[in-house]
Amino acid sequence: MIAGPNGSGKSLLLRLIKGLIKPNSGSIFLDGEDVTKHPKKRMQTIGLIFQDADTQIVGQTVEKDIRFGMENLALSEQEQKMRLQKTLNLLDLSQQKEQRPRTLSGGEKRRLSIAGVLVMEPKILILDEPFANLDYRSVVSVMNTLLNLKKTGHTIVLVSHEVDKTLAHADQVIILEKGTIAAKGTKEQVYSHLAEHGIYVPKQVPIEDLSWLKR
Amino acid sequence: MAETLIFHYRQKNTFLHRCNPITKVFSVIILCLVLIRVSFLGVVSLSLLLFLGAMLQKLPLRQYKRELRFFIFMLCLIFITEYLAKASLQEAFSAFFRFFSIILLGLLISDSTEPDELARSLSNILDKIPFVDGAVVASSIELTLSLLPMIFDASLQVHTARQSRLEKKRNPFVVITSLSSSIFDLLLDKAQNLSDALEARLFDPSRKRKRLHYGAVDVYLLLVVLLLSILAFML
Repeated sequence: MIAGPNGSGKSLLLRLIKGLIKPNSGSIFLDGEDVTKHPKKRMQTIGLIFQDADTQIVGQTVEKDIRFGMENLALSEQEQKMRLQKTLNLLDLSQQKEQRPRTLSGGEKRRLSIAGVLVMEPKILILDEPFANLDYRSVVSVMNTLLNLKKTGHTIVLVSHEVDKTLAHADQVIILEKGTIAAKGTKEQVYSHLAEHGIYVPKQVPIEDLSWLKR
Repeated sequence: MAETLIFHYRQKNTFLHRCNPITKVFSVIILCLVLIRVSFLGVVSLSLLLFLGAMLQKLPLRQYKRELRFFIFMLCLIFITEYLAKASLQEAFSAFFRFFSIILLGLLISDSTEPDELARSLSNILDKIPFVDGAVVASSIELTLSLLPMIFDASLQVHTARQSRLEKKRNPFVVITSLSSSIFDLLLDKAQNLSDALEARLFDPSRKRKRLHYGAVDVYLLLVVLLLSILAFML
């Protein structure tokens, strides 16, 4: 999990990791390999889900949007059908398959934006503020989706400034402040330093309760 | 996000939806050429017949009411300038109905054609032209088409935000100038996000796409266009 106040550089960091922005200096390592030298491989390995689901959706129907990335990967029709079905089931979008994305609810749009990236089978899934502008029911739905993905072995990097609602599910936490790493470690290690870095956490609340699912 | 529908594809199963996008583009070009060449009576008849076609296609014109205001303003502007330039009511009405028909044709084609299908069809045709990368040209057209609704979304968003802050009614020319810079800023942001999203999902504009086939409906459409053209020339 990457957290930090507004303007701390979270979204910029994600774009750098994905390769949408070239760094002035430094390298990005994935599984010990410098991926800055392999831009195409990096694009395939890292799946980035943007904060604004609307601008990320490009297909005219849910199915077409999910297929968009697979067509770019030049996958066979058979492989596309198989992955499509699997992803629709996983993200509970089978009922909306033929629906126009613009008519979906906020939570469904967010799940569609996850599906569109997930279907490309990236090793790492990065989500930029996935709960922004969602009502509680949609937040719970997206959170459960992410927890299911985590259970099925996906590596998820979650960027959020709402630490008080997501910390319970994090394995590793990085706190960014003014573009630098202010703190990092397990949730237990970082918890006591959160307030110092301008991040709100309610007092006297066990870490396990810092979750949207415990509201 | 604001919901605007004009120049959006609507998933339906109408006669126009079943036609190949190339046939539709070809028909629009023919009808535009006819509109330029025919007499006043021909232009009016063709406009009315196209309007009838739009009704049969069940275009949700009432839902477009808000976005159509811009085109109504343009229609009035065209009418007035044409009248002032040529001092003829008939010429002014001719220009008015020509522009009206072109908007209707635009609405009909965007309502019944998916941008990616249009790109796919164009790509196959343009590829046959030497030194032209059909796929890239088609992708550019596809992206431009997908930006059209974004323009309406952005303008509606800016307009609503200003209204909610009790912006006073001003001269429309002043409003247009003032709005355009805000809309342009928002549009650039949205376009940047779309570009990032496309890149992140490995979008390749030069990718070859599957071919779309022609059917009997394409022949029927061309026949209708031919009949309309003959009728317009005869009047």
